[in-house]
Amino acid sequence: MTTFQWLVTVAAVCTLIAPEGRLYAQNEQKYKVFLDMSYSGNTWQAAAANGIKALAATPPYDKMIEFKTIISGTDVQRQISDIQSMIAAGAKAIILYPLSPTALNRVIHQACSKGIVVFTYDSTVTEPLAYNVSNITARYGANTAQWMVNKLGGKGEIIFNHGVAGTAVTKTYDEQAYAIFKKYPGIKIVGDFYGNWNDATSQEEVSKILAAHPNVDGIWTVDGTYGSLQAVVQNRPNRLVVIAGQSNNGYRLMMADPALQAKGLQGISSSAGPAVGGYAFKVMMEVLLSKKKLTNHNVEYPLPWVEAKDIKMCSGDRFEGGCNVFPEGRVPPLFLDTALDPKFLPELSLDAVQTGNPAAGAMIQPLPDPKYADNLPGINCQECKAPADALEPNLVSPIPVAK
Amino acid sequence: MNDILTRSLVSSRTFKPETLTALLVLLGAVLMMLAMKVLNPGFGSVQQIAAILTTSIFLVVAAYGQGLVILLGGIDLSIGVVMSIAGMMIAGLTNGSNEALTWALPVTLISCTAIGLLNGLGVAFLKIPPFIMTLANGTAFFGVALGITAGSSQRTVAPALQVLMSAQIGGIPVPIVLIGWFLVAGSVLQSRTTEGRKIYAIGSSLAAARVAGLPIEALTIAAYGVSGLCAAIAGLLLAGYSSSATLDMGDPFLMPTIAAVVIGGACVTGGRGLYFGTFAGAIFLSALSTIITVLSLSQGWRNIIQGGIIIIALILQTKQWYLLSIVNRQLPGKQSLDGVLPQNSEV
Repeated sequence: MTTFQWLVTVAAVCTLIAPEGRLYAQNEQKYKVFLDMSYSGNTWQAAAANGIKALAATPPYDKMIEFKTIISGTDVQRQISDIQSMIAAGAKAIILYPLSPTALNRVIHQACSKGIVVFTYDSTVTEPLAYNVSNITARYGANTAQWMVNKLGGKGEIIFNHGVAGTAVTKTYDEQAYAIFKKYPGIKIVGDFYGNWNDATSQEEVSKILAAHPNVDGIWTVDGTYGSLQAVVQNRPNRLVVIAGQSNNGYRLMMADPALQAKGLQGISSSAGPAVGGYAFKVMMEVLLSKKKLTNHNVEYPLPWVEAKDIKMCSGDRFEGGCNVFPEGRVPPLFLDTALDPKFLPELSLDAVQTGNPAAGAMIQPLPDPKYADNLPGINCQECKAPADALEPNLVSPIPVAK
Repeated sequence: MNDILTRSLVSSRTFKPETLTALLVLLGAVLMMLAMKVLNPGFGSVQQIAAILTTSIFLVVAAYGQGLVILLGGIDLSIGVVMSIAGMMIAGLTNGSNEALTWALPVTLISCTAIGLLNGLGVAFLKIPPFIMTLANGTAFFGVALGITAGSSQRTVAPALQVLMSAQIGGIPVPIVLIGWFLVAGSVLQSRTTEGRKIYAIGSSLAAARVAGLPIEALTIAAYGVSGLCAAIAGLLLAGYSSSATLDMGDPFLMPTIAAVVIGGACVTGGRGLYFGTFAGAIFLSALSTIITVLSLSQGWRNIIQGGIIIIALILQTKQWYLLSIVNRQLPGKQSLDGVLPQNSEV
C-alpha cells in the first residue's frame, strides 16, 4: 500500500468508528429495546416488524430507546440463544414473535426475573411472567365459521384451508371452526389441505379440489384467502363462493366488487393483522415507562372484522375517515390492510408499514385501556381453564340448525 | 472421435426400461384419476382434468432442470429459491405493465440462469459437492432477495403473464399446450442431441467420460445453468398463475422436483433417466396430491404418503432390473421383453 492508500484507509476507519463511539456515549441513558422477529421472508412478518420499527423511531420514543432488531428465523433453539444474548446485552424490554408456546418459557422467565419486560405479539407463550398480545383468543375460527354457515343457510359443500400444520394458531382455529361446521349436518367439508398461509399453494390446491368437487359453495381459510379466491375466479368464473379469511388488499377489492358479488361472492376479511405487532410494542412501551399497569398478562388485540358493505376506498396513504382499502395498483394485491390500524396506531402511514420508517410529523399517541384475553390452556397459560363457551362465536349469532 | 466414443459408452436403443417405468407411472396417475371418479361421480370433465394438469406445469418445467442435473450425478437444491426470485423479479420489474415485459423477461431469465451457472462453476471447478454448493448458493441469493424486498410481496405481475396462464388455444388451456411443447423440446434436447448423450455418458461413468475426453466441466456448468433457467421459467409461470409473488412461493416445489425425477425412473446416482419419466413423475405427483387433498387426509398422513412414494420408487428402481430378468425368464414368449432388458455393461 502506498502512504496515500494508508491515509485513506485510516480516515475511512475513523469515520466509521467515530459516530458509533459518540452514539454509545449518548445511549447510556437510553432504554435498550430488542425486537426478536421470526422469519422475515413473508409478507405478514415483514409488515408487523416494519410497524414496530416505525413506531420505535417515532418521537418521543426515538430519543428514549436504543432499538435493535434480531431475526431468529424459524429455529426455536436459535431464538432461545438470541434472547440470552439480549439479556447479556442489558436489554430493558424485549418484544418477540415466539416460535413456540412452551419452549421459550425458561429463557423468558430468566429475562423477566432480571426485570426485563417481555412481550410477545400474535403468537403467545405460557410463561406467566411474559405479556402476550394477540387475537388468538378472539375466536377467529368460531366467528368466521359461523358467519359462513349463516351465509350458506346451514348447507353446502365447503373447502377447509388449514394454515401451517402443528402451529398453535392452526390447532386453535381449526378446532373452533370444525366444532361449528359439525353442528350443521347440511355442511359438508369436501376437501381440506394445509395451505401453509401461502397464496400460491392455496390457489393450486383449491383448483384441484374444484376439479374433483365442482359444486363447492364455500371456502374457509385463515390465510391464503386471495389465492383461494383466485382459483375459483379462474376455474368457475360465473359461480363464486362464500369465503372467510385474511385482509389482503386484492381480496378486499374483490369482496367489494359488485360484478363479483352478482356472481355469488360473499366474503369476510378478518384473521390476524400485522398491526398486532405495533400495538403490542405500544403497550409494552407504556408498561416499560410505567404509564400503564396491566392487571392481566394476556391482552387481546381486537379481531379485524370487515364485511363487503364496510369496505371503503382510501384516497391518501392512511386509513382515515373509515376507509380501509387502497385502490388497485397503489399497493401489491397481497398487501395486508390490517397492517394499519387507525384506532390504535394512528402514527403509522402506508409507507411506514412498507419500509419501517416513521411517518413524517407523527407523534406517539396514548392507548386506551386494553381488553384482557380469555385463558387458553397451553396457548397463553399453563394451569388454567378455558371459558366454557371457548368454541362458540362471540361476534355472530348462530342460525338454527335445520331439522 | 468424441462422438464415436460417446456412442460406445451409451447405447442408443429406442425403447428403454425407463420408458416402461414412465408408462407405468402415467398409468398410475390415470388410475388415481379413475379412483377419484369413483369417489366423486361429478369428477371427470375435460375442464376439471385440465385444471389439474395446469397446476402440474410448474413441476413439469422445474423438474426438467433437476432431472438433467441428477442425470449428471448431481442435485440442485436451489430450485425453490430461484423460482421465488424469478417470480419476485418479474413482478417487481414489470409492476403490472406489459411493456416492461420485453426487457424484464430476459433480465429475469438471464439472472436466474446465472445463479444456476454459478452452481455449475462451484461444482465443476471448485469440486464442491453439489448439494452443498446449490444449497449454499440458494441460501445466499435468498438473502440478497430478502435484503432487496424486505420480505414484502410484490406488485401485480404483468397482465400478459396472467393471461398466458388462463387463456385457451382451440379450447385447450395454454399451460397444457406449453407442457406439450416443453415435453417434446426437453426430450429432444436430453436424449436426441450429442450434448445430451454426453451428459448421460458423464453420469454413467465419470472416469470413462474423462478418458473419452468429453467436456465434463463445460457440460456440468451448462446443466446447472439449464436448471436455473427452468426454475426461472417455472417461477414466471407461477407468478403469472397466482398474479402476485412472495419470497416463499417456490419453496414447496423443491422436494417434488426431486421426487418427480426419482419416481420417473431416473437413477439418483446419475447416468440413467428420461425426461418423459420425469414428466410422468410430475403428473403422478399432481394426481397424488389431488387425491390426498380430496380424501382430506391429515398432514401427517400426507407426509407419510409423499415420503413413502419416493422410498418405494427407489426400492423398485434397484429391484427393477432384477425383477425384469425374472419375469423375462418365466415368460414363455421370452423375446417380448428382451428390448426392455438392460444391455449396458455398467448397469
